[in-house]
Amino acid sequence: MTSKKIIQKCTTWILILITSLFVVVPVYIIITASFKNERDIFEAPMALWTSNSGLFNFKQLDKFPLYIWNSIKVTFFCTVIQLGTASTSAYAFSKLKWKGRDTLFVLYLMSMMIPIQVIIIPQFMVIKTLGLYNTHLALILVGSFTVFGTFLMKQFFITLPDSLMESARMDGAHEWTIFLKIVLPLAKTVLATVLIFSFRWFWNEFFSALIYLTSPELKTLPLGMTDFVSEYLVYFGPQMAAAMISIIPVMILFFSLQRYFIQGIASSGIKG
Amino acid sequence: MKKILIAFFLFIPVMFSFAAGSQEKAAPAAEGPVSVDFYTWSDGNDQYSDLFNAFNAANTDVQINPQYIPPADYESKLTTLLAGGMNMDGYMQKRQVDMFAQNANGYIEPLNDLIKKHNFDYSTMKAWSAAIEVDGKVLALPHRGGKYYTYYNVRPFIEKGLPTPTELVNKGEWTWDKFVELSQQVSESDGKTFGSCLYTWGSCQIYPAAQNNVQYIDAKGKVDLNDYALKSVQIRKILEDGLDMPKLVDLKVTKTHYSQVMYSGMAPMLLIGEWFPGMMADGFKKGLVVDSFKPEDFRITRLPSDSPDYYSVGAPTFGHVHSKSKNKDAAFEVLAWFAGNEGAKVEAGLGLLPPVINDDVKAILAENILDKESLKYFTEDVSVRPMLYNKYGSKVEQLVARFTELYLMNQISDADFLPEMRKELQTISDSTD
Repeated sequence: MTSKKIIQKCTTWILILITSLFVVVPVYIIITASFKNERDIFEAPMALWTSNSGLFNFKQLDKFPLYIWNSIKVTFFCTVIQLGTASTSAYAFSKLKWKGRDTLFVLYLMSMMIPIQVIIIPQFMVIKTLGLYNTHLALILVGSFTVFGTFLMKQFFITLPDSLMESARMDGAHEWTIFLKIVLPLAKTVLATVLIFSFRWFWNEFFSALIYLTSPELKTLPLGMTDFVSEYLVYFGPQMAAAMISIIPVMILFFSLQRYFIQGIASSGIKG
Repeated sequence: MKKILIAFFLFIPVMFSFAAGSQEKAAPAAEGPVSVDFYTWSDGNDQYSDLFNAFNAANTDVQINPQYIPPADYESKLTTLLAGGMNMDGYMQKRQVDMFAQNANGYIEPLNDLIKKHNFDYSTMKAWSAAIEVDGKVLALPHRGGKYYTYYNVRPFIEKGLPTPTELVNKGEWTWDKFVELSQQVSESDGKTFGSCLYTWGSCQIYPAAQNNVQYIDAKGKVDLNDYALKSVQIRKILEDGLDMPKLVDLKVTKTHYSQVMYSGMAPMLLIGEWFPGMMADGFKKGLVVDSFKPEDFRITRLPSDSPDYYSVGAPTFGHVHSKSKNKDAAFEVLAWFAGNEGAKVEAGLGLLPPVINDDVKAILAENILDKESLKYFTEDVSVRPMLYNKYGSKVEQLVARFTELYLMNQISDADFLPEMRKELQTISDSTD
């Protein structure tokens, strides 16, 4: 191996190491802090374990099984519905020809640029009028559509040859049959990608939950973490313990669908 | 295809029934106590829940239906609820200056008529009138007084043979220059044990200015500055540079709360608001305070002051009746109870400063404030000047925080500080409706 190649390799590894540190260090802080008392958390240098470390922060998470269950419920419904709305609308935007299709899609895309703080008040008025304030259904309804997911799937569907659909139509297949039997099976990778994005988003979703929920028994996991924020103090220990627990499902999902996820992001055509 | 459609239509009702969680409660029946939806910032297990529970236990005709919002996100949610037309009867105001915008938007019910109707003794509220009245309209009733004090651990002063802040107050020598000097004397100057602490909030940087009635922008939109605006930040810089005060940036980065500064012995002196005795009592009770700092070592006295006419600073914590409430009388009864003797006893029991002080309240406060002289200064009747208290306040506070940081990092000089700030204040004044 030449010295030039050695330098290149070393540089690559150093860059990978530095990049990894940005990801690993916060996780390390969360894990270590979840076992420490408030005084030890911000001690420098940061110790992995102190003489005071223990499970006491986890013992304060007695309400969290309920919060986790609520998060699972909301996330499941939102994710399933989003997969449905994103895939059908992406198909309509990419493979069906109708008047004003592209204009409507541009408008739909533009809605991505509007921050939630701008739309939250009119949206809240709608939810209140429907009598859904302080229900999980409010969160599910406002989270039923995903512009990003639709865009991602549309970009994938565009790569599918129109001849596939044309031949199915000539054989007398209904549009639903084409979509369900031909298009969706080819879209597993991008569906997995949207699933991961949606799951991660709703699992961590805080602002809508804050606005629409008020009963303690309806709190989702991110909202439950505010239990440890008092008027004057933030109790970081139990918050870190809760954060550590909340990471686990996302990690499991990501690692189990990692292959699809990377393919889905990278997909730009059909393999012949 | 048929199967999928059937499954889908079967799935919808299942989803609705399962996902709903809980529906809004039905309106209370006409008979029985009036239920008042009252919003506040709380985790449901703190001072507010104690106050609400005490009210519900003491009253039969009106009952509070508490609506708790996480403290850190109270303003965001409350703003949305108010703008979205949420049915509520009353709410607490966490950031007092928000009252001006809420009043302009018509969310707050003026209480003048209700005060007359319910024969509420408003004379007990005179100390707080500057904070709760706008253009002759009473917009709120306080449930907590609002004053800032000097809190300190007397032990280090005794050990070093130094005069205590209380002794200096008694001699009329507790000035801001003396505060700097005493902080330097009691400090170890080693970067670990400091002399005093001012917290990170913008308002904590401007005590001397606020005492001298510097408004930054007055209620009419006129820029109002003098040398005390600069002196306020100079005090911090002198002490930070000499390792006699924890650096503002360090407190922020390490998220060190001011209570931790006192609990851990990082600094023996702290200038903060009237709620702090309750926090200290809690700290002693939970064993969070270093062993060398005993409850009997805890002292309270006035803020430093350069003027012979002493003013404290701060604003009371108060609640409003919502203008769209269908239970305005009941909501007022709640506020009146909080602002009266009964509410005061509950607040005092929690180690907080109630809006009204009497012998009963003093006796209860004495359980947490063991030193008689500290209790005297804690409950004395002095004038209080609200800080940054008009519709420009929240913007000005952010500006003050930014200028303080720039000054501490030597990015703005003494000569430029006031002219630059004046320019920015004018911009705020011109761009605020």
